[in-house]
Amino acid sequence: MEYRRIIQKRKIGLISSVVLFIILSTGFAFRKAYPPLYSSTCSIRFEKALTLEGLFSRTMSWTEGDNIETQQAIITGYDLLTEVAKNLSLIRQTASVNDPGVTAVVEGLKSKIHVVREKDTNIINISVTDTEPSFAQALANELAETYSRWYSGQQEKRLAEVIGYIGDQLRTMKNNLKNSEERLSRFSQDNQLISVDLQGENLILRKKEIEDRIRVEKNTKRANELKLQLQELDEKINLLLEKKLEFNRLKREIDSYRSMIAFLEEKNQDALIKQAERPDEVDIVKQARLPVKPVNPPDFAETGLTGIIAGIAFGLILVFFLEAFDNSIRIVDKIEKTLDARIMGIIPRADIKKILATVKNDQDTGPEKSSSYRYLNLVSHFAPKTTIAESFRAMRTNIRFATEKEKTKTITVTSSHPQEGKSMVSVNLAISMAQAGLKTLLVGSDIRNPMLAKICSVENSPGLSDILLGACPWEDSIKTVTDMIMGGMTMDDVMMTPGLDNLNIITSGEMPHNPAELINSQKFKEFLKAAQKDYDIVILDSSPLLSTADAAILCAQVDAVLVVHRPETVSRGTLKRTITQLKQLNCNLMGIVLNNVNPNMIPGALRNKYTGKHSSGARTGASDIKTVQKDRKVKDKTSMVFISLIVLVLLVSLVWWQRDMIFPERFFQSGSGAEKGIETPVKVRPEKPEKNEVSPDVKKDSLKNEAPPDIEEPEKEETAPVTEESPGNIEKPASAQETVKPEYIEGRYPYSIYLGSFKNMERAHQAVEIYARKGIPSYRVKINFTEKGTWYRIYSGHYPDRESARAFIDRNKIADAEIKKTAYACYIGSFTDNESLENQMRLLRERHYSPYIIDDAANMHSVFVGAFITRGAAEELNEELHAAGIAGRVVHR
Amino acid sequence: MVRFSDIIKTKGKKDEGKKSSDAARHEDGFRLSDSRLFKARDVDSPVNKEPGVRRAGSIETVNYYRAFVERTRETGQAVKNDMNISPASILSDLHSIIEKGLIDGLYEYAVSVKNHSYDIALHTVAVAFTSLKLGRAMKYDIKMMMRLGLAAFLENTGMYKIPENIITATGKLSAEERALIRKHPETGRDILSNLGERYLWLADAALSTHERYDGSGYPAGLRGDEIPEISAVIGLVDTYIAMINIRPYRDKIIQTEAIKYITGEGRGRFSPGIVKVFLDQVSMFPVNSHVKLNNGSIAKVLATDRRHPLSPVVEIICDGEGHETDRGQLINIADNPLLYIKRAINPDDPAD
Repeated sequence: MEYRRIIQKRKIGLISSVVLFIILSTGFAFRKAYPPLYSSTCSIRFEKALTLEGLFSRTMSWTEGDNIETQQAIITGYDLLTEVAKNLSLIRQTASVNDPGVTAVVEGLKSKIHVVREKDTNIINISVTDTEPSFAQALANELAETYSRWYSGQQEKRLAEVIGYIGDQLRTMKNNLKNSEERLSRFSQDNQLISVDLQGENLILRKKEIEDRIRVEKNTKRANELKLQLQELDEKINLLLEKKLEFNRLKREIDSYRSMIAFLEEKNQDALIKQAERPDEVDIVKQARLPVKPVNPPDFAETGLTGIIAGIAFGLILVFFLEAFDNSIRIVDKIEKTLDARIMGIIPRADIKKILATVKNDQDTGPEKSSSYRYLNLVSHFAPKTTIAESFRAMRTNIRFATEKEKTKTITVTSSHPQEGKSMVSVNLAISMAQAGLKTLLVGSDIRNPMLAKICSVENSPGLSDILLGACPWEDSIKTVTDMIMGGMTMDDVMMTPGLDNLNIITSGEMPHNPAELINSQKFKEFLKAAQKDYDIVILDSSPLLSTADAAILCAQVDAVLVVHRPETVSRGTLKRTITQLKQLNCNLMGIVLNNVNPNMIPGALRNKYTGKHSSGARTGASDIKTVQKDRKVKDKTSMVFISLIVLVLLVSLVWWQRDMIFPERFFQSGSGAEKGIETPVKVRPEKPEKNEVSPDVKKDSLKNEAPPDIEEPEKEETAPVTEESPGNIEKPASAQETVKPEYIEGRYPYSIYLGSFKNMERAHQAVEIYARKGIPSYRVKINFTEKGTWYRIYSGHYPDRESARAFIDRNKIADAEIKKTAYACYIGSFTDNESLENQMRLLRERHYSPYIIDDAANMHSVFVGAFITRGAAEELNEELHAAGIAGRVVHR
Repeated sequence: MVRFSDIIKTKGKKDEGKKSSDAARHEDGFRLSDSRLFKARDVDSPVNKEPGVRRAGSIETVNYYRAFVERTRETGQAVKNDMNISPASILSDLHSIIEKGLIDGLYEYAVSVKNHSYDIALHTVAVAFTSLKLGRAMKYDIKMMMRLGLAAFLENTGMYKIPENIITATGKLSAEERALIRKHPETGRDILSNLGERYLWLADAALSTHERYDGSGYPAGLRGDEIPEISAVIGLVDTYIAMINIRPYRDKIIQTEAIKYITGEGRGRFSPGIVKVFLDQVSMFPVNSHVKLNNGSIAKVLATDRRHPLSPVVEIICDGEGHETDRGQLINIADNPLLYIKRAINPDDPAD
């Protein structure tokens, strides 16, 4: 219940916190959404059938997967990316590999590339994520193509190696064969090995003959002779066998060579066939498409939800935090318990404007400014319908119930410290009493501080001090409405609310030197006694209790004491001290009046408290309080709406402002990084003409070898630029150059100064005009972002290199300018006479293009529209121009 | 729910017993509005200090009133005929009314006299008694009271010299005629200075009754304290009495409106101290003025209370439904918390 009350009480804070968080988080998401990233994927496939090792030898145990993973690594490898960067003109063809700038560019590209193998296939997806869709597409495609080229180059190279190897082997084998054959034939000739077997048979036959003869002619001389013959024959047979072995070996050798040659010949044929086929093992399965949607769209729903949750969490924390640190609110409940004192009234903080407005409404004439003070302090009289007057009436009701029982006639209003609103409370309480028809006497017993006279605009003397000094009978010092009239009120003022007539006032009078003694005097007691006889109630506006002695004396002499407490400025401890002191003095503490309370702080429970306590009698008070509640509700609502409106307006304007002018870095993350990288170290000069139409094979080698020859290139090229043929843009129509007679020589001014971006063409146009007034010729370039919509960039000038652009920036002191390489532009035509030039310019301007002129030395003016970092964007404009009936083409500016 | 009329009736009944005996004492010739018995708080003179009842409009009061009117007429005649005037008889009568404490009675009587045409004598008498009432509230001693009274009676001495046709003229006056009227203080001073050294103050006082606190008066354009206090008192009262009485060129203004003028537009023209006393004595709703109460009934103010100037004692003339009541319902508004005066009305104006 307690939590519920707290939340209910501070629901405005909670709701506004939630609203604020939603708006902030959404706004943040919106803002953070920049730059939107676009992702483009190009898929490539490896031909599974063809692996090199399968072709030549399968001894190596690569798995397919391993191979693809290797290829993945190769794709994002340094060499390949350098090549790609060159092809995309992100770095110069001449850039050295060791250049830190080049490294930066390549690393930048690498961070954009994500290579994934499609599961269980030979397909590799190359995804490029970038702020510009066209760039993402271009990079993905370029990478795939470059890789494909590189790969096939690699394959061909290996094939050639294989073929070479086979050829070598074949030659060696053939040689060996030839040698072996020669050796065999020579061997055969040398040993007359026509028929070894026959010779052998003959020898064996002869051997048998001799052995037979030996058996016949035993132990004869002849036998010995025969034995010798037999030995000779055996030797011959052995020799012959040896020769046969040799012969066979040679023959085998030849056979083996022959078979090997046959094998090699076969393989050679295979390889040659493969080579003839020019195997393209890497297919581009799917070209990268121009991404339409960013991959990181700002998720408003999610951030909004997060905002709600965060807002509720923060709001709750805030609410309970405030609650914990808010003495004032708990004081209401706690005072009654801990201080054993009743809250007799809660006076809300005066809403000055409302009071004055009420007074104005009730009075035809309208209040004068000088009277505001009076109106505010006599609010119960002048604005009886206001919340604050209602609260005084509620207090009056409470006091009357309290006084009825106890026959209380004299009430002292005091407080702990000065400035807590005693006088204001006592005056308004007295007015409320008087309005209820009670004959009321208000006594300014704070002799040190004659507030009462000031508030009621009456003369301060004669007053209480004069009565107590015996200078004036008390009846004569009574101030009535006539004194108020004399003090500046009109009769209409006085009669505005009936009842003021029932109020008599005794002011404090001139300050004597001993106020405490005066209050303590017998005269004062007599005065009080006499006054009680004549009046229904006597209210004494006292001095603060803790700072003066007379207040304590006064409190002891009256029937009841009311303590005014201002919770925001005076601590509860102080109040406790005051109450303790009152108890020590044996004073009858009637209750506490909380003054200047923030209307929102008054807890609902207390608002209805009085109804419960004084069932029927307090009906007036209760209804008063209800009215108060109603007032408050209305006020809360309006203030809430007001606050949320302000927040909304602020945020919208913030977002709008952000949309309108976004700093260049956001757009050129890729481009600027690349260009910055090579800015200093690379020798800057016009784009080096690329002479060789690079075949994939050669290009692979040139990847690393391109830089050195560039450095040696002579400077004179600057004066005689050659039409560039960028390797990345081979498809550019070469024939177009012959169509127009005076022709712009391409590729000389790739740099522009980027000045800013605008969402609105009008504003972009204005910006151009403003720059023109400053002497900076500029032109706007429309850029279509699919997601972010159309933007207008403002560029200035055309420069051959960064230095000249930088010089222009420095000369004109342009802040926030950036040098961009805008290599592509739509070339409209070149003119030699001013009239046709003007006509062309006017024509373009009429169609809301922003053309600019590049003057050539030979009195030739070339008209261009746009300046783009990517070719795609330039082509887009070109198409638009064609659609508008303007002939142009995309060139390297 | 308690009805207002019930309160009024019970209240009226309570008072009935007390006043019935005096109710018969109506004087002929003059309507006595205040011929009732009631508690009087506004009377500070020693005679009426005692709580209790005061009998206003007694025979004695009326006799004195007539005597003063007669004396004033005589003085006027004497001035017109360039005869000597003698203040002695006025002084002796003044002395006796001050001593007898008849000032309040004479004031109430004088302001309740209905005059249908401009009568300098009646005007003078009313100014004189009202001034005396103020003087007493300002704690003047008997000598000062006599001086104030005499000066008030003779302040218009110069006026008697002005031709009748100018005084009774209803149209716009020519420049010369206006100059003539503006000259009357000086004329008066000249006449009064014939009284001799002893009455030099009187001549001065008469000269300065048309001076105003902010210097807007004539003939000398004195301001602030330069104006003798007696003249300042008489000047304020003269203005007030003139406003509430008929003039040849205009109708009379009801008393509350006159007071509104004095405290509102006319603020600054009169000494604040004297205005304050005047308000205390005459009150916002002076005796004999008609007021409309918040219950719709119309009442006539009978007596005022200095402490509650917006809550006088009234007699109900007409109840909330517009029926005339039989006179005699007396209400002290200060004692009835639910009653209050909404506004003053003009009894002669049928709209009210």
